Amino acid sequence: MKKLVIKDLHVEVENKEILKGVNLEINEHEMVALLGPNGHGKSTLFAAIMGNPHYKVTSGSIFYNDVDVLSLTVDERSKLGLFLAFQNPYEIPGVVSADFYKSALNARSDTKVSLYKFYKQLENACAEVKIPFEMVNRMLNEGFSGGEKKRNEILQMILLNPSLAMLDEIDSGLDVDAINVVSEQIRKQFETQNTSFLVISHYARLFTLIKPTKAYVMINGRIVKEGNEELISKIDKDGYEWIGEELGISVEKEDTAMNKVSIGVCGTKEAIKKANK
Amino acid sequence: MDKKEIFEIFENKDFDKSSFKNSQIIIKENSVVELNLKPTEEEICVDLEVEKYASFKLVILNEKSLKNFKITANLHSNSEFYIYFADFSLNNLDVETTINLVGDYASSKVEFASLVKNEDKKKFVVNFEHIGKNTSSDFKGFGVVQNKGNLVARGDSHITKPSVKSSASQLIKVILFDKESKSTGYPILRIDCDDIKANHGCAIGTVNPDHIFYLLSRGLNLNEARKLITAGYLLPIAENFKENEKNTIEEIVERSI
Repeated sequence: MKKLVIKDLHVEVENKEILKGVNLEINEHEMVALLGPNGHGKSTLFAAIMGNPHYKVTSGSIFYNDVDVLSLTVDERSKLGLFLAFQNPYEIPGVVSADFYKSALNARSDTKVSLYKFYKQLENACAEVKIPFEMVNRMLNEGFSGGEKKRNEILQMILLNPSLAMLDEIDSGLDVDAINVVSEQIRKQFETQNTSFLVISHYARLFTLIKPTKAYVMINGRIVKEGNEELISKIDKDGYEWIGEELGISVEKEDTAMNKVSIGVCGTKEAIKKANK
Repeated sequence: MDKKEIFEIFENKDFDKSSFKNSQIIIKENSVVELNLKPTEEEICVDLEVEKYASFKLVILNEKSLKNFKITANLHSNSEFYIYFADFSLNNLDVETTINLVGDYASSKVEFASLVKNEDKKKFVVNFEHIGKNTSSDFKGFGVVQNKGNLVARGDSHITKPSVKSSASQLIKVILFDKESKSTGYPILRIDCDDIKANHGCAIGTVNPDHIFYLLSRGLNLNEARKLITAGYLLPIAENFKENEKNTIEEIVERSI
């Protein structure tokens, strides 16, 4: 049985502990929502599961299908059936999207996928997510709009057909029509391919469309509550403060310190002017 | 220096590749000439005249021998001169092209893609002198540097005062695969005329670990991910080559990384 089991997971980034003992389980063919305030560790959990080297697992375990995920390289985790749809997919200049998809498909097969089969597969996937087929000849995510990038993540999910897909705010930056397209594909993947899902979103609209049956709430780097669609509705209506009060914990506020190098040219001029006054 | 032999080329079939070593070549008026070179010599030095309404495309695949390549070209009105230089040689290389856009509406493009490794030093210098009106130049340089290699790319486009309505473009993109490798880019524009269009850009950097993670997360191993990124820098130039040479370039890129 393909099951994800995470026990007492601790993860730190640049010596700061973000996850402080996460316990979580996802069964085969299960649609799960992961909720929580901004900056409380949801994306960190995804990054740790997928093996992002910026994130250091200091203790705990992740098993998928009884395989120790933490002992695998990133590509091995992908081949095991794990998939991460990025919140901000990277633009990679020089890498043609179609070449990348073909390499990804070939990587998980003993024999190279035939060119004809690949193009048919790609053509169908493009049609499913309503991306013009010509876009596959463009550089990977380069110059794509926010919505196109998100659809491109779903396109890759369809092509790679994972057994567990983690979707990190797949609905952010999507208009209503695009949310409908994306959620339809998530449901289709769930129903026809038995893919399990762990989905982060801040909006109930997506959850209404993809119908998760289980929900976890992450606060202060821990899973503090488990429930079902009723829990999602309550959070949509009342936020997270009540959970803090109920459990007697204070909900940490997101660190909003400005990026030191985020200042633009005009901003720089203004800052210099002020400093000279 | 010995006196150069002069070759006058009227059309494609007149071209004897062996003449393209140390010579003066004239592409005659209205001729359309394409030359595909796989140099077997260490040095090539050519003075070129492209007469009016003539077009000359020079496609070079340097796999091993060439160490010194120098070309000086005068382009007359409405003529075109393109150089596509794919370099995978395992030695030092010095390339210098000087293209004088003398006649009105003359246009030129120089594009190179170079793989530098094993402590080799390679230098590409591309000079354009815009003299005629409505002239255009385009320089694109792509490089992949690894194993303590060193790549210098210098574009110098000078738009002189009479060269109104001309345009110049330069782009240098180099990726470094290790901390010991080096690259320097000089996208230089010198503009003495008001009514022109010009742009230039230069990006030199190491492989972004976030990009690698993204590719790995789809099942590619590290070697495949690096190969894909490298191909993005070195393969696009293959579009300008004949089919069998395209395959050769793909094979070289495949086995080089």
